[in-house]
Amino acid sequence: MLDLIHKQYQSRKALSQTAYYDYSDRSKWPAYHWELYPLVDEFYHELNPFFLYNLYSKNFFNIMNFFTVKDGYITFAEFLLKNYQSIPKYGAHFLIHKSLVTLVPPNLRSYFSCWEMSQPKKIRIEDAKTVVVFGLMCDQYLGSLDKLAVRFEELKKINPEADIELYLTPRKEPLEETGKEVVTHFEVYDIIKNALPNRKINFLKTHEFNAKTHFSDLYFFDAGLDNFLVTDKYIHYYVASKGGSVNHIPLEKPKDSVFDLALSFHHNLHVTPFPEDVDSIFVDMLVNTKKFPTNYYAKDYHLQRFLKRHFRGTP
Amino acid sequence: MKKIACVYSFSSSSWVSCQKIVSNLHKSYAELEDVQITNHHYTEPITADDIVGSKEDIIAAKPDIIVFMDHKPHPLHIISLLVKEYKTIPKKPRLVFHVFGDFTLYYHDWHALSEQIYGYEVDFIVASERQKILIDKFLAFPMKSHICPFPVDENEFHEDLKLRDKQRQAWKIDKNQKAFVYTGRLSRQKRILLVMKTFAQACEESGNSNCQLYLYGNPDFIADRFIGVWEIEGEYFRMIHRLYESMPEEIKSRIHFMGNIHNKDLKDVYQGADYLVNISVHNDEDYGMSVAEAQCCGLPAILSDWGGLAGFEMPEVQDATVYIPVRIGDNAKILNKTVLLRALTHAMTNEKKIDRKAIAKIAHAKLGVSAQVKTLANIFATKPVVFVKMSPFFQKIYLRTQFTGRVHLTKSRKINYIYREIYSSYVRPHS
Repeated sequence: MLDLIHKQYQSRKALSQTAYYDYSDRSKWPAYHWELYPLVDEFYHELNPFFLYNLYSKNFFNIMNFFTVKDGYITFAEFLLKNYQSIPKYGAHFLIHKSLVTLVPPNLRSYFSCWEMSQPKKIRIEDAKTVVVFGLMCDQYLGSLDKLAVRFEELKKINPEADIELYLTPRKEPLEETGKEVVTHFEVYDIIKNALPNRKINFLKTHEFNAKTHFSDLYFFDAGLDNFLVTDKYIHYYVASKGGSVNHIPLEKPKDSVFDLALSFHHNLHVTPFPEDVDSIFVDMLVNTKKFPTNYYAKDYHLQRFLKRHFRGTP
Repeated sequence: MKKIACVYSFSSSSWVSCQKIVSNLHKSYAELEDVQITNHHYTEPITADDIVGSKEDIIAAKPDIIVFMDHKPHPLHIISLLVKEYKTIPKKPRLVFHVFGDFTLYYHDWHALSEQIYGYEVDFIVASERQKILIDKFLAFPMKSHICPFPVDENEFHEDLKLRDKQRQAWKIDKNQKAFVYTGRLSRQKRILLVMKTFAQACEESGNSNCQLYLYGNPDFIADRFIGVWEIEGEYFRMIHRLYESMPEEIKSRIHFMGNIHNKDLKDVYQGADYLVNISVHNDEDYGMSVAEAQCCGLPAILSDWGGLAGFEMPEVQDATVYIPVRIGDNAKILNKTVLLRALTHAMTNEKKIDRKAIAKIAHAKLGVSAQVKTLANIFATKPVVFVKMSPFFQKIYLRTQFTGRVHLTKSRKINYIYREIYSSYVRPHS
């Protein structure tokens, strides 16, 4: 694996690099990609960060054989269901987030390794001068609101002198076929009010968040429950690369890291081997989806339900 | 008493240097004699209601002069509304535009604006001599721009030896060490890779092991789009990191990436440092706020001879400024690496004490808020020119922007004559 990584690292070829930028026709990317802003903007490193759902043609594997997968478990599952027979033919190697390993079919493990991140100078929420609470205001991102209230208990640790800012972007469910409106944000405001009674709160619009220039004393609290939609979130990269601390990025690097790559002066990506003792759920997933055949797995309610039960414990 | 309406965004710009520029410019306006200032919010994004509200506030203030002192948003939209109102008002105000380095990014807006302000008395104010040369090419005779450097608040940036010791303690360096600093975005056009490489080479050649390089700021991905170089976010950081990782441990221990700090903390950095290094060849380099602030703290500087940076020359004080020649090559703006190496090596080995007090004094006299009060007073004392149109040169470039995305490049993607005609203003003649 290390040889492969070094080869990719030395080649400095990545689809998102300027030279290949135009190769991917962005109009062919699925519509929900754009719904996921600001989680999905592009950034560069030599290990070729990419969403697999944006590889709309097999030709991509002809010019590139190494990918750092940014997908969440739902779109990664879709990729596997569509490609599990072809992956050996592609000859590609994929770095996936460690939380996705149970999805990989046992016979394909040699094509996968894992990535994790660390933030060596991460500060604690209680030491931050500014705390930004972030979330896409939809169930697919936040999970159950009861559990959200529990997660928001951590906000009680915020220093009384600190500024609290909310960057909560209203969204319909990105992977919902019906495109129904959501009113999650009203319920989330109530939970925040309960978690932070009598605190002054400032609401940020996107351009106000983007206009921020100082991040060194900033703690970014992502209210997202898990990696349902995206594992490698652009907004985490944005904050961490400017020196902010992100709740979902750990302080310490994983012990089994075999290769480190600095993503910025403040945070790193670590490549780790595929863990050995993993019970794959791929066959169960395959059997379940066979019951309800579809071409759009990511939007399939049954698959979503199956995966949520596995990763969240609840449908 | 003259009434001046100052139009700017009340919320901070995401462009760090511009946050200070607008607030300091406003201080200079506020100190003008016999002037009554009114302030009007004009920001981006702005709702239709807000922009109409700002327009009505300006009209109600009945100003003699309307000053647009911010770089963003472009004044076009509010001007269009104001001009409609002033059609029925006999006394038209004098319009003053503080032009920033981003002028060349917005030909379309300036073209549209030029059609709106026909017949008005107009002043274009730029921040440096070279920017004046550039902007004057776009203005039709007899209109010429005025120079008013973006001011530095003397109370914030001045020489203070106590801060020097404090900063050097924070850096954990002793008196014998020489500290070189760069403050700003870590960007391709700021030539950060070249600074690092040449610093390493100069350390080796001078044999001086007592030098440190502190780079303040975060990487960006602005690249050099005028000449066809685009980057993805993170790409320039990876270049910096690769170079850094390839350096010997001994050199790596002397290059420090410090990230962004608050503007108020920069004065400590400038006091603690021995030299500022800024070899930017950025297309927007109309001034150099970091250089102005550093000079006001008495810091000598190694600078590229490009754009507004050339205006900080201080021949009165020996070694206060050293300039690195720049020329526009076929594919890029090219700095003279030999001169840069010589300048850094000289700075590393130079034992002579540089008169920092004199640098700070001269800088305050040239660049301070009070100095700009006089400059502005002089500008307003001159009879303004009535605006008719932009120059034929401007029209030529504007038309080109309408028909091609590659205004500055030949078919073979080399720098073309248009780019040279515009940016020859930023280089020393015949260099």
